[in-house]
Formats: sequence, structure tokens, C-alpha cells
Amino acid sequence: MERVIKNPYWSREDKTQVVCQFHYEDGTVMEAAVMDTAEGNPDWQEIMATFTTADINAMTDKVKISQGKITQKDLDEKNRLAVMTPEEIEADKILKEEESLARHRARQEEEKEKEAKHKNEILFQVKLDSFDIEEIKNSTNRELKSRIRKAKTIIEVQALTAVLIMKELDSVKPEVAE
Amino acid sequence: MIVLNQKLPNNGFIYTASLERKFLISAIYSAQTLRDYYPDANITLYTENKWHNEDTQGVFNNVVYDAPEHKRAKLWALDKTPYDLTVYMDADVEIVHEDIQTIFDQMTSTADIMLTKIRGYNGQIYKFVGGELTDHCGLFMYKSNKKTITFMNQWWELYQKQASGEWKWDTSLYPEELRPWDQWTYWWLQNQTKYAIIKEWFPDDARWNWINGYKSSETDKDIIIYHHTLSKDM
Repeated sequence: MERVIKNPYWSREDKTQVVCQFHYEDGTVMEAAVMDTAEGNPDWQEIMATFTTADINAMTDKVKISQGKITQKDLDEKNRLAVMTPEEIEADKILKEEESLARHRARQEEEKEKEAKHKNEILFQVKLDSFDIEEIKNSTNRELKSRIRKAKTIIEVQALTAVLIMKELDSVKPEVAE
Repeated sequence: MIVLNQKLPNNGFIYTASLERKFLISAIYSAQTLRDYYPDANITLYTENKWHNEDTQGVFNNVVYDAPEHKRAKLWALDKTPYDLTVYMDADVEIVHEDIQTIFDQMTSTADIMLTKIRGYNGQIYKFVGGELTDHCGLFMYKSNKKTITFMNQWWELYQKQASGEWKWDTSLYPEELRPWDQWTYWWLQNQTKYAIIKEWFPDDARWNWINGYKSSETDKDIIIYHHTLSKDM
């Protein structure tokens, strides 16, 4: 019975075996694995005569994608590199490493800015809390109050707040009779 | 109650504080930082009568206790400014540089209002089918000419309709998520009504209203005004 060979793809990496479909006149479709033999396999010869290596390569890639063995992105990358010289491949590798490093640095910068944002908010809140303390609110020590407002760290706010509170408390200590 | 009927022939800053005491505390603190770097600044606070006995520590030139109990009391206050040239600032800003003394010099002869730009990466909603919010409404400078004061009055009037739900719009163009924002009311007045006024942006605007979360690349100069966000737990 007449048959037509369709959809051949490499089933081995060394390209010594092809899996394909035999479509018969009566409508039957059979899947077959075909290899060459020492005597010469007519099926193998027919496949090699009917399809180019590129045809079989393309079908192989399609099958691998459908099986989830590679992604279209990987395939595109493979095809992109396939037409490059070794020097171009090396330059491309260096560029990719630089891009990866730049992305890493950008992520680090973003993390740093996020942390700074968080610290700034806490610092502002601590300053507000400091100025809601009665001794600080009522103090006429403009210099120290200004220093608290201009403080760059929480510890600085806390230290200056403590100093000002102590000064205010000392200033209202009753005199001890002799 | 202090009623400021006369227009004071100078430039000044206005703050508002309403609804929660934390805004009053923050406004007082903010004004103190303003005085640190601009001792002669004219500053007016609009706040609620319930805080009449709160000690504002002598930092304001004027305190008006007529503000309504409203999350956008600032809009109520804007057309009542006693100054020829006014800088409105949210209560949670912190002045951190002496260049604040040059703020009034930034006003141009052509602008009615000067603002800073919204940075989309640092906000909630700013782009929508019908347009884009571009102007940050937490700090701005405006002239007391008739059309600008009318604009401010309309901003308050329309916002009340917006907040109550009375004002309905085409949500296929302008999402309902815009409803809480006074920046949306501002956008509408500027882009869809006869009340539009001439707006310009501060030069190197990020310095003038540095919102916490801005990228360091926004300016290479010292920040002048730092805009925080008050803690919900305060």
C-alpha cells in the first residue's frame, strides 16, 4: 500500500534516529522510529531525500516545545546564537553578564531606597512624638529644640530629647532649705 | 474666633489641621521646622474650634478656629488666605533647607498656581482612560487674583459633591477609584471646566515637595521640603 512519510523529527541528539508518521492510503497513520542500517534502510533514504536537515531540525524544535523540554524563548536564543561567530558569542555573553549586573545593582538600589524611606518615616514620627512631650513642648530652649528637629538619626533625637527633658526638670527643682 | 477680613500685603504659608489631633500636632511641628529655616515667615493655621485650647506654641502668626471637621478641610481654607501670594502645605511636611526662603521668588508672572509633578511610581492611581493626574496637590503656591480664588472656592464646592456621591461621572473614562482624591477634583476643574487657571511647575520641582519614596535620581540638589506620611497609629 502506498504511504507518505510526514512530520519527521530527531529522536536522538546524534541525529541517527528519526521518529515520523507513515500515512497510508486507507487512512491509517502509524508512528515509526527509523534508523539507517549497514545495508541501507530504504525508509531512512526516503526521509533524507524528502526532507532537508533544516526541515527535520525545525520539526524537532516544535516537538520539544510541545513536550515542554524547551521554551520558545530558549529556541529563539539558540537560533540567534547559531548564526553568530565565536567572537560574537563571547561578546554577547559579556553583554548579558553586564546587563545582569546592572539589574542586580538596580534591585539593590531599590532596596536601599525602600529602607531609607522606612527609616525617614520612623525618624519623622519619633520627632513628632518628642515634641508632644510636655517638657519639650513647654521648653523655651529654642536652640536645643531646633537641634532635635534637625537631628538625622533616631538616637540623636532620643539623646537630645533626654538632655532637654533633664534641663527642664532641673530648672523646676524646688530649692532645698539649708 | 479670629476672622481675617483684611488682606495682608505680604506672602505667607497656610496649613490646615482637622479631623484628627495628629494633623494638628504635625502642623505645629511642620511650622516649627519652617521657622527654623525661615524665621520671618508669615504662617496661618486653619483648624477646628474643638482645639481652641491646644497650645500651638506661638509658632503661627494667625490661628483660625473655623475649619470644618472634614478630611479635606484644606479645600475650605484655600480661598480664605489672607496673603497676596500663598503657599499651602500639607501638615506632614518638614522643611529641611534654608532655600525655603526663596520659595516666593519661584512664582512666575504668568502662572496663577505653581505645583510639583506627580511621580506615577510613587502614587496609587494617576493614569486612566480619560486622562492623567499630573499635579501633586499636597504643596502648591498660588496668587490671590480673582480667578484663582474662584478656582479654590470651586475646588471645595465640587469636592463636597464628589465625596457625597452627588457628582457622578462617566466611569468608563474616569474610574470610581478617583472619588476620594482632591487631585481628581483639581484635574476636572483644570481640564473640563471654565474655571481652569494657569499652572506651572516649580523648577527642579522634586526639591520643593520631596515625597517619601522618590528615587534619588529626581534631583542632584539638596531637598528643601520633605513630605512624609503620618502614621495611621498616631
